[in-house]
Amino acid sequence: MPSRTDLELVEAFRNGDLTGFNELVGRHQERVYWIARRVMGKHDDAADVVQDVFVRMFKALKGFRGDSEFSTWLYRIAMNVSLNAIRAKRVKDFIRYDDTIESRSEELPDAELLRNEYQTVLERAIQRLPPKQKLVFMMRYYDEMPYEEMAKLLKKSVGGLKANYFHALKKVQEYVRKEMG
Amino acid sequence: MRCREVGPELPDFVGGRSDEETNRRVSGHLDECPACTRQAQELRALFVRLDEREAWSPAEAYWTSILPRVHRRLEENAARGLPQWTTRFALPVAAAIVLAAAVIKIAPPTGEDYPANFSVLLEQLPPDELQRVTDQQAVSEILQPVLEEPSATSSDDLEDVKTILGEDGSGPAGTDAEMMTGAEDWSDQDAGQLLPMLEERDTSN
Repeated sequence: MPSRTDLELVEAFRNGDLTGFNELVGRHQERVYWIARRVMGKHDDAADVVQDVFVRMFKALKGFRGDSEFSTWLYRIAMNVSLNAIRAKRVKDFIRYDDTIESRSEELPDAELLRNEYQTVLERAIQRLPPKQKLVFMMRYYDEMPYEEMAKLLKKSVGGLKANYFHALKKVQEYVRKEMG
Repeated sequence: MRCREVGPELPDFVGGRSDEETNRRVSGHLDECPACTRQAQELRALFVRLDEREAWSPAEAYWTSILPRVHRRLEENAARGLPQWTTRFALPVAAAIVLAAAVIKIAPPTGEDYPANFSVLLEQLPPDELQRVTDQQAVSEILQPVLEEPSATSSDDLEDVKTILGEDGSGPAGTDAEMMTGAEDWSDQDAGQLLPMLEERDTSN
C-alpha cells in the first residue's frame, strides 16, 4: 500500500483515525528532535521539547488548513516551542554548565577535559545568541535551509539573512575566544 | 569584491555551499586579503567544532519511545482535567444553566413548581438525560468525534476543540500560522519581528 501524504494523514486524524497522528509523529520525529536538540543542546531537554511539540501538534492539528506545507507548519511549532523552552531554562542552564565543568574536572584526562570544556563554552555561546540570530544560524547551518526558503519563512531579504548568519557565527567565535583565552 | 561584501559569503564558501561564481570571486579576494583569509580559517575551525556537537545521536530505543511518551503525556493532560462526561456535556450544562436563569428572571416561579436548586439538579442529571433536556444536539455533534478521542478529554482540550472547530464547527478564522503555539510567550522583540506569523494569538492553549 502506498504511503499516505502528510495531508492525507492530517485528514485521517481529523476524521477520527488516530493512526494518522501516529504516522505523522513517526515521520517527523527525527527532524523535530534535531531542531530541539540544536536549540536546547542537551538530549534530555530536547526529549522534553519533542513531547511538547507533538502534544501541541495534536491540539492544533484540527485547525491545520494547508496554507503552508505541513512540514513547514510543524517546523515553526518545533522552533517556537524550543525557543520558549530554552529561554525558560537559560538561567538554570547557565549555572548547570559551570557545575558540569567543575564536577567532571576530577575524572577526565586533560585533552578530554579541554574538548568538553570547549563544547560547553560553544554551547553557551550558541545559547547566548539573540533569538533572531540563533534562528537563522540553526536554519542555515544545521538544517541547510536555502536562503530563499528562509527569506520566505522569515520575511527577510536573502542579503540580510546572509549578513545575519555571518554575524551569528562571528559572535559565537568571539565568545569562545574570550572564554577559552 | 570588498571585505564587507565577502564576509556574508564566507560561511557558505567555507561550508562548501556557495555557487561556482561566488566561489571564484571569494577565492580571488582571499588570495589578496590576509584578514579575510584568517576569518575563513577561523570559521573552518568553528565548523569542525559545531559538527562535533552533532556527534552523539540517540539510541534506536529512543525513537521508538517517542510515540508512547507523547500518548502518555496526552493522557496525563486529560487526566488532570475533568471527568470525560463533564467535558462532553460542559457546553450543554452551561447553556442549560443560562437558559434556566433567563427563564427564572423573566417569569419567576412561585410556590411548589420552583425548584430552588435548579442548576444543581441539572448538574446531577445523568448525561443522556441532560443531553435531552438541554437540546444542544448540534453542538454535541460537532464535538463528539473529537471528544471521543482518548486524549482529548481535559477541560483544556475542550477549549482547544472549541477554538479549533469554532462554535459552528467550521474552523477558526485566520490562517495556519495563527494556530502556532507558544507565541504569546515569545516576548523577545527581535524574534517577534523575525517571525511575524508567530506573533499571532496562541489559539491552542
